[in-house]
Amino acid sequence: MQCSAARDWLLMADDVGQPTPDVASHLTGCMACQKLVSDLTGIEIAVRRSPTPPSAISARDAFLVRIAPMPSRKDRIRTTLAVCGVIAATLALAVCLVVLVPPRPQTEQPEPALAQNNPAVVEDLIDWNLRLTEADAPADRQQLVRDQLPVFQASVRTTNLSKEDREFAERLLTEGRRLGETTDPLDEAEMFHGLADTLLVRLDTLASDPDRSEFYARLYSKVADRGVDENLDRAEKTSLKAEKLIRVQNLTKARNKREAKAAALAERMTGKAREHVKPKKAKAKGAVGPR
Amino acid sequence: MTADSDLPPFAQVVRDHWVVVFRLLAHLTGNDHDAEELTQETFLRAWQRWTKVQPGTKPRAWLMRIARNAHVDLYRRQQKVRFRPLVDDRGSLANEPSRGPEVSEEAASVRAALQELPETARLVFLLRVEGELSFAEIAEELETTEEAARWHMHQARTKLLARMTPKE
Ligand SMILES: [Zn+2]
Repeated sequence: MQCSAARDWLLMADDVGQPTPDVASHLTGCMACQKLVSDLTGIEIAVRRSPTPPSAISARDAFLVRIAPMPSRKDRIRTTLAVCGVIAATLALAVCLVVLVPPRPQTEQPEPALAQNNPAVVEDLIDWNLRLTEADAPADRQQLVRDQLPVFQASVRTTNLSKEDREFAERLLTEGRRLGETTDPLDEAEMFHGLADTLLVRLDTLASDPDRSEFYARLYSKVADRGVDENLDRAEKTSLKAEKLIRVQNLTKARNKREAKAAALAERMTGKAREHVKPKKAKAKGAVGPR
Repeated sequence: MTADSDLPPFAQVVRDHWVVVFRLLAHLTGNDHDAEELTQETFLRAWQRWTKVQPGTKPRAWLMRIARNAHVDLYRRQQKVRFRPLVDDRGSLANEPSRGPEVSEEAASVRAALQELPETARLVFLLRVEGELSFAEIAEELETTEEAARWHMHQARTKLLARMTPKE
């Protein structure tokens, strides 16, 4: 084996300390390649030796406390009662103080911001709403709400969001809770159609910003496909009374109108954003037939 | 489809991988403060998605992907708020005294050397050395071939050798 081959092997190796028999036999007679092994090993040791600051460990421990399981229902009731007692006493005291002491300007205590400028939470909320609508069994839906609603509420509270994103996130929290309580594909298709409309309006204002429009275009596409169209399909497959049939027809019309708007908007977009927003060709127009 | 199939409890995942994720981010950002913030964000995102994780997912590779995305998001935000010159200044950023207490000379020189690597080469090197992912896993994460991942490693090691080993 030549030096150049041994060298290439070492530079691409999983582990320079575990050479193949060929490389090992070259190494026994070649000082230059032996030095290469020792230099490469030295570099990896130096990287692994760079210290982890103690603050990273405390941050981990604080995070573990934060995600510790919620107390049981009984404990919660007990705690709630205790907290109510304290609140009542505090309120009584506060009333006395307000009456007796003139108010002073207060500084607001902000909640600690864990994640900043992070519209990713909006996407997580959409995914959660979609998983809810796709879960058939009411028990699965309730479980999803029980497990995730408190996490998302905390996340929305502590994430720095624009006014529009915050309003949208709050709306997704409400819709998610509602999806946990009922299962009606038509209701749900109508709800997701409303979300898709809002996202389209948002996209309209962002069409010239490729980064942000790609993000909202992706959200739009998920909501339109999995939230509206699939629920419409499901609704059509159940036997519907006249009143619901009219709703299906109206929603189909509204859906098609929205898609025409989306198609026009896609023309002003570029790259992936455009792909997300462009209505899928295979989709039948005028009727929500099987695809 | 749920976390309780063959996956460990999330708290265990936090205990097992927090430090590795932090170290990856510290090398990527060259800055302990940003790394801490991004580690928090990574695990917060992971926590929210934990119930969606497919059985058989390797938590470490999965977390490293979330961490990389969080890092990209941070980089974009920083680009929006201030003009940030590319390679040269990032190299010198690694030598700033404000980057955290007690960074030894060796650690500082490691950071500076890593900051000078091309983006993908640095990522491959770190995913292998700090993340201990196989080249096959790295290739999957970076949506490339194993061969290409090894080639980026070749590049990374060559550049680090030139920078970190004394010439004779
Ligand atoms: Zn040789």
